Amino acid sequence: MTKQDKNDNISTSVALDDEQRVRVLSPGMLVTKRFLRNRLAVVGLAIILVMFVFSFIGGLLAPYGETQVFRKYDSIEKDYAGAAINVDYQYTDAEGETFPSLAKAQLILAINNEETSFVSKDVTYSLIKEGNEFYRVVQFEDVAKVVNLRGINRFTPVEGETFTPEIEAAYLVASEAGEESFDLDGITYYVVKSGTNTSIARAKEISMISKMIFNPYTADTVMDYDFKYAAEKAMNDKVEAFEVNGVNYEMQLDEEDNSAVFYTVNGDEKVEYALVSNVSINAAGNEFLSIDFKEAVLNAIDNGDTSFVMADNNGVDIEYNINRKNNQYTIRRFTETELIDVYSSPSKVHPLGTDGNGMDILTRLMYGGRISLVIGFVVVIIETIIGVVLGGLAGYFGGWVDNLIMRVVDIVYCIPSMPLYLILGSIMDFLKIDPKARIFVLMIILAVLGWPGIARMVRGQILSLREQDFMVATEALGIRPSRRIFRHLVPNVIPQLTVIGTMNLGGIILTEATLSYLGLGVKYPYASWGNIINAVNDIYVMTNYWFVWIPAGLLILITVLGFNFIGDGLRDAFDPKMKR
Amino acid sequence: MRKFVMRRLAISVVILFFVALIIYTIMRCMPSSFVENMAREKASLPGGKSYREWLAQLNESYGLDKGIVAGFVHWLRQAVVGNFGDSWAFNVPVTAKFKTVIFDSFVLGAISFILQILIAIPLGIVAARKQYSKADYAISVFALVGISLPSFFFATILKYIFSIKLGWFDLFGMIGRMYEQLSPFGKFLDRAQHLVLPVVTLVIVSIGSLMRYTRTNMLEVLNSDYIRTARAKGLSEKRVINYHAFRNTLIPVVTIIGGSLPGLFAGAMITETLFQIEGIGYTSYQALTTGDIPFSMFYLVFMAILTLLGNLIADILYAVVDPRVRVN
Repeated sequence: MTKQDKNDNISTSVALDDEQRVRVLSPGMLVTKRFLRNRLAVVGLAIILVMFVFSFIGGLLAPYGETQVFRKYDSIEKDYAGAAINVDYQYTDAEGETFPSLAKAQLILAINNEETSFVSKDVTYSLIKEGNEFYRVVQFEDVAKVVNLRGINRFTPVEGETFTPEIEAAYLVASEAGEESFDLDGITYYVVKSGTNTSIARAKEISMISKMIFNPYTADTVMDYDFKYAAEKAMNDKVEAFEVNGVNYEMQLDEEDNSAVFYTVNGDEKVEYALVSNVSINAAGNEFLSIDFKEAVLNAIDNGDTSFVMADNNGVDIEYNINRKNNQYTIRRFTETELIDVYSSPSKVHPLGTDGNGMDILTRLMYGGRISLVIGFVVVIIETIIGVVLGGLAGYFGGWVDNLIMRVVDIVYCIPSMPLYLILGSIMDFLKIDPKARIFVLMIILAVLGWPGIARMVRGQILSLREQDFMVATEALGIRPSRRIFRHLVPNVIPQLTVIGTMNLGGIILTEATLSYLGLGVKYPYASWGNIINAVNDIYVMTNYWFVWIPAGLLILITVLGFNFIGDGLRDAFDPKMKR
Repeated sequence: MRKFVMRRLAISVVILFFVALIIYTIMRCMPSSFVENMAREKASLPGGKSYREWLAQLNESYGLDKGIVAGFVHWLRQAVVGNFGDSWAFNVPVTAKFKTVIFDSFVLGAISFILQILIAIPLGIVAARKQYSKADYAISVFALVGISLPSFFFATILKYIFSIKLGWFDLFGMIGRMYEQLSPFGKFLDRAQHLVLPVVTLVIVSIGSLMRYTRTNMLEVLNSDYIRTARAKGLSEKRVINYHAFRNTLIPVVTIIGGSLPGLFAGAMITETLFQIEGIGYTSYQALTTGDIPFSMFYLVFMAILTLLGNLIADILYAVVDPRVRVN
């Protein structure tokens, strides 16, 4: 072998401690490697990553808000109109007059007692019967008083009135014939007798009373008093044509139904003007009911039908259902109505449907995940801080400090946590704490009751660590105690802390979910996986809407499982002794 | 040994005192209108005293008219002689209510505890013997799923499948509708049937920790020198596992089982509530949520005693079972 070869050999071979030959792994790398070799731990890591993406990024990308309520249109049967056979008197006041409601009661009494006049509030009204259930209320204005003395009439005109001899003549004719009224120059005069006194009076129209209902053919038709009076009179007298205020009307009477249709006549043209009947039909809303509709209703009621079909304004046939209750008829139809979209089944718009408040469940799950994860992490951080500080102090100083801290640990450890959470939850309910503040309070409560386990572990570790040589070295170097504890002792506990923290994360998420499920944790409007499942307290929801509660439960299970897998993997990775 | 127990007992009493004080303070923070309601109810009875008089009397009898410390002393003095007062929610003495409900809780707890032991220990040992086998992974996953399952969710799933879909069990309650007409044996079966779902829930949810504990300890034992020695001696694998390894694994397992014995009386609050089993858990849930201070105080102190007792038993057992441990 030449010298050259020898040199080559040396140069190509690697020394034993060469980095290329022995890949030295840092302790951290070793742990990572061991961790990644554990299949369950990797699965757990993947689960948690997916959960983070789902909750935090999914919440950002979700098209809906956490508390966005969805609505839908659905046809539900709603009241469209009501019909009733009218049994009450309808009052049509003359122009410029009002018939006070107090007088209406007197009027009914007068009708029942068949009196011709009644007094209400010092006003004397007279009742003129025009036909069957058709009256006129008038107020007489005396024109003149008549005193009959032994066959000789003496007329005394009322102040401000003109009493003409024509009136006198007409009166004499009428009184001779025993009539109660007479017409003169288009004015009707009445002979009013009260006791021995007789007076000639003009009637002032106050109101017209009947049980008929007037239905116009078009929405903007306004029927005045004169027409209504004339129309009713025509119905009573069965006059087929009449004229009011220069307009000619024609009537088509249906005696059997006691209803009539009126037409305006303008030359040869006959236009439908009004329908009069004793059935009142009113719309449930503000819409105008067409006369055709009303006629159809009348027909259906007459025939005893429970439903009828009619075209609406657009010519679409709509089916109406009639429900009868005594003399009341309700006409119902299916109407498009805006409803809160509760418990809608999974669809393209809502992949997991909507909940009882009409909110998108998938979106609520994302926001709920945020809250659950944030609560988990915050609580673990707080309880780790408390646990490390107290555990570290107890372990390092020993003696009475240790004794005191460990008794505190014992006390907190002894407090039954679940019942206490329930009590505190009820207290927060009583105090009506704002849902947002409640989340923070919840975190603090969970942390304050959760730290003893960590403190115990830290103390135990530090008790053994502080006897080791490197601690003697720190003491010899004169490093101050706080630095010795938190710079030299605590970092040695980090592996155990990580494991315990990861396991605790799962436990806290479970506790939070349980509390929220019981309605004592995170509250509406904030979502949490627990309070989404709360819906199953309604057995109907549990039975019929699986999509409301199963996904939330599975998410809790998978997330907690993920943390437990990771915690398990970490323990194995940090503590390889356990493996072999 | 006796000195050790005495010292632990003394410490336990001190701890218990502070636990009770803390709980009492929190309970008193409850702006409960329970007393006021009760006073109003009593005042409305014919011939009764006025509302104010009743309120004053009730407040006095529960020590609510005093400050928190004085009220606590009042409660403590009564509690020490076994008088926990009348439950507000149930209108009977607390101890009487406790006596009527504890048995069902105990039955439920005992059945699921025995089932847990019977399932968890063999499975834990199998998992440890065949570490990293498929069986080990399956058992580990099973145990962790059990730990991770929210009991309310699991109970709801069981109800959904077995009560609603299959109709095998009632949704909740302890007895069926026809209970009164059944023969004694029929009554027993009826009660047993109503316990199936709660027991399954409890077993699955709490089996995981014991299973993993057994596995970890078995692994530790299997790695120890005396097992290697036993194998080197040429003992059959069966004997090594069943005789040498198993017995040593039992030391920590028995300790932890002994420690959880008092827990049998603690009841399972969530599970009992979900299935409306009239045990201590469900009863105290009602008491806690309605602000029934006497019953809640009793229950919480009872729970604290159980915890302390469990720790004490575990420590004593640890020394008794394992002769290597010296009590100090």
